[in-house]
Amino acid sequence: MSAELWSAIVAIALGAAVLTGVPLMVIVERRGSAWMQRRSGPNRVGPWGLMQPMADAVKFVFKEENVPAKAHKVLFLLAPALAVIPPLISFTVVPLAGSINLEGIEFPVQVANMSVGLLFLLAINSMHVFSVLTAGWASNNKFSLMGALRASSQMISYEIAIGICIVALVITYGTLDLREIVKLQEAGSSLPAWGIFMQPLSFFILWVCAFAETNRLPFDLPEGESELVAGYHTEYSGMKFALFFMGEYAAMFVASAFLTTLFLGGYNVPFLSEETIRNFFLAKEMTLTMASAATCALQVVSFAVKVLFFMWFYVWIRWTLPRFRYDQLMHLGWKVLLPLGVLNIFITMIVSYLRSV
Amino acid sequence: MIATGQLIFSVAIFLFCFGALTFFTKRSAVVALMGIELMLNGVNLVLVQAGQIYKNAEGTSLVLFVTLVAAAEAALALSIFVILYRKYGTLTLENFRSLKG
Amino acid sequence: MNQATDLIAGAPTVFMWVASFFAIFFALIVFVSSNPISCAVALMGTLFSTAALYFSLGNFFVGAIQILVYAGAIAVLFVFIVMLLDLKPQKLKNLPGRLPHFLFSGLVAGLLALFLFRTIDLVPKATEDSSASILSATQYAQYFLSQYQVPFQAAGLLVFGAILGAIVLARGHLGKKEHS
Repeated sequence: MSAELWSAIVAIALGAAVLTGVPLMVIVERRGSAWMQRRSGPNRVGPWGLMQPMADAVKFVFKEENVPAKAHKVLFLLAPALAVIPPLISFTVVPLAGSINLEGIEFPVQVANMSVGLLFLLAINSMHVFSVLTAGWASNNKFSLMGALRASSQMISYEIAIGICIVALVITYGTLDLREIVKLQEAGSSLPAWGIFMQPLSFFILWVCAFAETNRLPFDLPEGESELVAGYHTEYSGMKFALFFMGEYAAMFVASAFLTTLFLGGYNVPFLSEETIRNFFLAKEMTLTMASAATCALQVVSFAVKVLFFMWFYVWIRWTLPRFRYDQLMHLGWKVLLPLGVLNIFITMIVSYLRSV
Repeated sequence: MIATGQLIFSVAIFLFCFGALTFFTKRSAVVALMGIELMLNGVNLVLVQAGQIYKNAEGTSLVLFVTLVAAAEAALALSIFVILYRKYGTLTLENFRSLKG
Repeated sequence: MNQATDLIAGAPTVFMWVASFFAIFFALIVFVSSNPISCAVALMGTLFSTAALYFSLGNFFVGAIQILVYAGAIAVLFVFIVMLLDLKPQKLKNLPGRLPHFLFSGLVAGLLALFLFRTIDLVPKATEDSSASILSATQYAQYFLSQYQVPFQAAGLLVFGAILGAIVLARGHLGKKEHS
């Protein structure tokens, strides 16, 4: 089997997993919010309302596709696609599990094992602004434009804090390769050697930024419905709106996977290195291929659990905290998180210098 | 059949020349600046490819400096454009003749 | 021949052809279109296609920087400015009067292109050993902190100056009253 074919297989499996995860997350969010507010939530379609996203999808497909008369047609149609594609691209560099041994060759469970994965993730993330800006402007609607301006300035502001945190992380790990970063977090005696214990401040800042980058509550100013109707996607209907919706959830998945990879040891099972698990399965008289596949399955489950924890946290925060005011948001981004990030760089530099001498 | 190097250099030449044409002919200041960015991009492409052919670090290191300077230049130029727009209500280059003696 | 040499002297891959086509196509749109917003979006397309070319050449670091700085920051800034100032499409006013100008620009650009295309053949073919041709991020860091230390610091100062300049320019009108 060639490396390209393997990448294609992983890519298809990953795409299917993300595109299934998005509707599942929608129903989890709706039922979860209902649970927090002592309501029932959608519980009619299928067992426990699990088929509700399917019904929603059918509804979206059959809705009228509206294009405002004075909209810029090309950009108006381009924006929803641009909202979905970047999150899906960024998933390619996330390591999902260790490697599978097929015919004596180790294939990493990752679509593209890139040497600058961390930078690539950051770069693709910065493309998200573009879709929001385009959608808001092309709709030719004042609420859309205001939402887009808010969203883009918010995202650009918080991107700076993210970049500053990444600098500290790169000093700690000494590499931009996400797979290597995960491998560095593998061992650990009393505590797992996770990034969260090495860079707690960085973790905290990036977590806050993840909420702002995905425009979720408490930072969902761009679509604050009490002020801006629905922000940049006011004019969108039917499947185009659904694409924005999917883009938002896919971006949440990416942010969760990003935090998991950098701080919660990625696909690592706590306290168990890849070799330990594989040797355990080999001792059960499995072939090498079977043992490596079983190890990877375990690691994928571990990865998914960590990602779902962050996803649940998104829902939890959304239905707990009220929305920020816009000046508070900017104050937090520029005057709290950014100086904290710079402070974190200095601390990291001193610590890594002391460790090297 | 052409080699990859030739293809890349051709693309770079196209980018540079379209950038130059944009810069020469457009009347809007913002679009003229876009022409400059296109030209810089063509030069970057040549630098990367030449750095790989001649196996030295200068080419690709210079690309990063060019990128950095381009970012600084774009930020400054665009903020100047915003001020010009506030003052004159237009960004058409022919209207800025007050520097003429 | 190792892989790095193959990337230069070998035939281009399909991916390279597609990326090259889009780079030139979007550059053409920047030139042809009269609508600033189309120009900005096409510029974004060109920058992204160029990043794809860098990736296909195996130069991932420069490709990622290209997306991060050019496509993610500069192009978005252009789109932002065009949308904020709401620049309208410009008609070709006074075409006969500007015709010599257009002809001259076309001539200059055409001659330049002709001259540059002649130089492609002068470029030597890649030699056998290209092992050191693509730098990793670590190697860049080593170069910037040793050999190019002074330019690196100067570039840092330049960016700092640009930040200050942009802030002063953007807030300048708040300090003093405007007369007009």
